[in-house]
Amino acid sequence: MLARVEVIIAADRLTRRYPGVTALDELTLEVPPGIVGLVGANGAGKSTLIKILLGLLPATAGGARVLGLDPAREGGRVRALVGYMPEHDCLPPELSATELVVHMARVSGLPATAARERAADTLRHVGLYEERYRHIGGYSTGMRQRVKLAQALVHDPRLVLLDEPTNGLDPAGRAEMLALVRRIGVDFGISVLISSHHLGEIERICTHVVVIDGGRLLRSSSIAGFTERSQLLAVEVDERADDLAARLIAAGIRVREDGSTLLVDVGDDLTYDAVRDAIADLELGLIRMEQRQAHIEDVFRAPRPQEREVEHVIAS
Amino acid sequence: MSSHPELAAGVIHDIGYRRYDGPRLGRWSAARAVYVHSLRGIFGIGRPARAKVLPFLLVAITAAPALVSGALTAVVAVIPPIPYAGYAYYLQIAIMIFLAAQAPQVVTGDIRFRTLSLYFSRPLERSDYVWAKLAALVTALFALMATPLLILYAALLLTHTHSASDALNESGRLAIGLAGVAVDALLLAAIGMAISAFTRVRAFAVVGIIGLYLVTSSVAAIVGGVAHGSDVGAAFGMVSPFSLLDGFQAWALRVPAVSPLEPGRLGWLYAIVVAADLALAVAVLHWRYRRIES
Repeated sequence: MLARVEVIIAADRLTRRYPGVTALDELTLEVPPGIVGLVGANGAGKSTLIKILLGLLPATAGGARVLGLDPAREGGRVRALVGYMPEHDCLPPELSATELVVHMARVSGLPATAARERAADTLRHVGLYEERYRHIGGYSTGMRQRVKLAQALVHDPRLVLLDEPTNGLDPAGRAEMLALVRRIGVDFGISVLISSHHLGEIERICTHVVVIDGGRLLRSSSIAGFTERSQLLAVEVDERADDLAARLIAAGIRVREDGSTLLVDVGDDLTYDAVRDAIADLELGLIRMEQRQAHIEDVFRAPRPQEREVEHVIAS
Repeated sequence: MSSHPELAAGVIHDIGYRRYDGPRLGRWSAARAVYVHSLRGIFGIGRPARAKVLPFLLVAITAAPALVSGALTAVVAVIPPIPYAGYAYYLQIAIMIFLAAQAPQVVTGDIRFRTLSLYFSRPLERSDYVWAKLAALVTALFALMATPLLILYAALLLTHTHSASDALNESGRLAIGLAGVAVDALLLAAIGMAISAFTRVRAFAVVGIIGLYLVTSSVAAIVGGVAHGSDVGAAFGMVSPFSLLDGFQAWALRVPAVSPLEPGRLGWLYAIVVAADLALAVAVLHWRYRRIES
């Protein structure tokens, strides 16, 4: 038995270089149990990190620990305790979901009877019913993603690594997948590492977020620190956007200009009132006002030239 | 109509998550699961009927001469049955078609559909995967080639065996035949799988295996035929897998060679080449799967 671990994933100056590219650059982090978001743009090193954590790829330098084990030396033990849902398609079309998931349970070391029982349970949990006896070749993208998730869960892992599970899904499908992931973390009590290039999408279900960019750690913190900053209100007015920005900033609200649109950080409900009042006082025409989910770039990018201009306006 | 409208609507029921506290059997059990799964796949067991047609048709084609020969020997006593040791050589085209059709079936799908990711993210090691897949293909080829020998044996035992010593002698000859077929299955499976593992497209693998067979057997037949009876002719007999295996069998099991390209005094060299080919094919397979992206 493994002792209860307070850190499910740790990396210590983890580096992975490919010829000409550094996928991971001295990444150091510690991640507690829970639902952990791994956020980064395409090519940020998310998939490379996951493969190193599974012991499928050696690190060039540094080390990692998963559930207290070193994946480079104890890859087999790590993989027995971890489930993995790849980003790409990986399902043989000529099998049914049941056949595939039973087979994968057996490859994970479950005896035949247990494999059949757990495959049936797991497929129900991910929301596949009658269709699980049909060939995967005829499945929709949403159903395929559910099968991929089921095979990652069938052996009752301590941790699942989900590489972009919402990829290719429509908005409704994304919401369903995220609800499932939340259930896995909260109801099933299995720790989750879920990667995405969209912070706003996964932050609602995460307890901890790790942001990487260019193989470097930008931030690793519990979700509380993120939520207040990532609620954005996009405001578009017909003229004098600069005046509006200046007024809002004077009221202590963070504002950035994105072309003719102002991106306003929403602190609390009073922000909406402040925006409304400012527009009314300045007698501007309001064209559009909408909630916008923050992208990583909005939260972490260095101030852009326009933003400095706004600050300059304030100073003068 | 579904009697469960809530199921049709895709509602997830809270049936409660159950943990698994049972045994986890590890690599050996995982490899056995891959072996069984692959063997079933080769013969289309648990798959639609059309997946069974080709393998079982080829089993029938391969076994048919044994049935005819066994029946003829039983009825017309003077006609000798097909010798066990020569059977695979005579039926080499059917065996090659089986190999060309089923070796890619064993490996290209997992590469093409990237299912390897699901295997290699489990306790199974890459080498376990290779051995399990190879064992499945060897088993299938052995079954294909051993079935006719067992039919011949049964026919002889039922009609021409009059004493216990006859039966014992016949069993001895069968054992030698089966030993030869086991080596055939090993080498052919390793070569077929090594070729198949380098492509994601099944058709390329089929063409590769058939192509290798046609080229090597043509070269062996032409050069070996021209230089018949010489060491050069014997050397070219090693180019084609079937004359190589036939010559090896003749040398190792002391049975008459069936191929016109007899090994002569080069039998020991045939044995070395069989072992080297086998080692090379297996090494190539492991090399390939260590590097393959998953």
